[in-house]
Amino acid sequence: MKIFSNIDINIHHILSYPINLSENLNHVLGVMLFAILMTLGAFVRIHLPFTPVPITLQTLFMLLSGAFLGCGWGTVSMGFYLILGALGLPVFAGASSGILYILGPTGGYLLGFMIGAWIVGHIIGSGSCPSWKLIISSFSLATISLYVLGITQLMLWSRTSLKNALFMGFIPFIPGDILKILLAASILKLSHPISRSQRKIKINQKGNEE
Amino acid sequence: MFLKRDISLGQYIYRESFIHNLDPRLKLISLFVIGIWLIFLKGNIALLFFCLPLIYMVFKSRIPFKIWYKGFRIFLWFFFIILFFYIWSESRPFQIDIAFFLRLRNGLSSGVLAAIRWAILIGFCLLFTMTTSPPEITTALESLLKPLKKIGFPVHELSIMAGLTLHFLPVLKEETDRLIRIKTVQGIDFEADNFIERLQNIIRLISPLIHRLFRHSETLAMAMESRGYSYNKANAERDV
Repeated sequence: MKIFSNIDINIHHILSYPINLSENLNHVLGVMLFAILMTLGAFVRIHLPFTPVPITLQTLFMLLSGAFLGCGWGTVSMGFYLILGALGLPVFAGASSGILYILGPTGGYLLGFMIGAWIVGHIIGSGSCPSWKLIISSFSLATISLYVLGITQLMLWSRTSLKNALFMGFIPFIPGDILKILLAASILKLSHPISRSQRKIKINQKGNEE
Repeated sequence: MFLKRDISLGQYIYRESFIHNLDPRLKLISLFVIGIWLIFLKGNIALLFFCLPLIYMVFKSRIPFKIWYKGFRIFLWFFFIILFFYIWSESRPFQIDIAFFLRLRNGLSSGVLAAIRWAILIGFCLLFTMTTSPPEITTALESLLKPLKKIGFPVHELSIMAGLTLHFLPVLKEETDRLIRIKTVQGIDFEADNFIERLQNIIRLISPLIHRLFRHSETLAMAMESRGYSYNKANAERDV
């Protein structure tokens, strides 16, 4: 890539730093990583003029946190993200005063992140290589549960009918969410060690046949 | 440039007042009760009963009005969204008849009421974040979430991590400032006009920054261990 051509990021230097990772610490690093990713996802946001709910990349990272860390630590990472927000760090979409976002109209989505990560982790689990069908169904289920919670709080706050709440909090986000689910599923599938080794075997077989 | 911007740690402002001295758990619980109450509140005059104590506490907290104004200004666009949405959904502008103005009035009044409700919530939340320091919030959250330990949710570890994050943000800012100065001396222009060049220069910062942060965190971990903190037991005090 042209952007990174004449830069010397010494990744080897960073990775070879002597840290003794115990299993627990590994999880802690994962939790922190996904909290940071959620923050970055919150900064990539598009405000629509007719709803208080912005389009962000956060659902993508929620799905991935459940899939990579498992149901326990995935939920914990989302909880850590919420706690950081409640402390007043500018981590939520829209930044500034944290606890307001948990109590306000869009707070249901934030609580929904925890439930979503738990559902993904619970269905996919860790270790075995999940199939496309399982991944996409679990991701869709998590996204739907996220929207159920979010729309409930939005409806209670804005005191409108369900139709209006769906118009404000669900319908504009469907195409983006389908894209995010597909992206998350392909990231998970490509990065899974078992599927990676299978691909290598396939490539080797092709090479042998030729 | 974005790296030079202040990383503001919450909106805590220290003053001597009785609201600052209240138990943070009490403040947190009452905040949640107020939030849920506001959701299910029926009737318009009842909103007044929230306004009066809020105004009283705003005066008693001794925080200057300039800061309140700044806090409210961020949410101004949201008031307009609420107003616009209520007027739009209740007046139904495509259906033209005599009752249109009546519907417009209804929409306006319900929109203003919703905006007031939202303003009261903003006021109480700002009051909470301005009068409670982040470490106090962590202790309050930890002691309120203690029942979750029974289902295996690591509350204590999370609060320790949150505390360490708070500790690390000023370090991050300091190190970034120092690195920017070092790199500027080495001849790297962080305010280049070319966007790609600027991006490259920012990426050049990341490698040494991560390296320095690793070193800092290792020092901190060693300091904690030497004072007897153990991860598995999690029985040590927070103020290591």
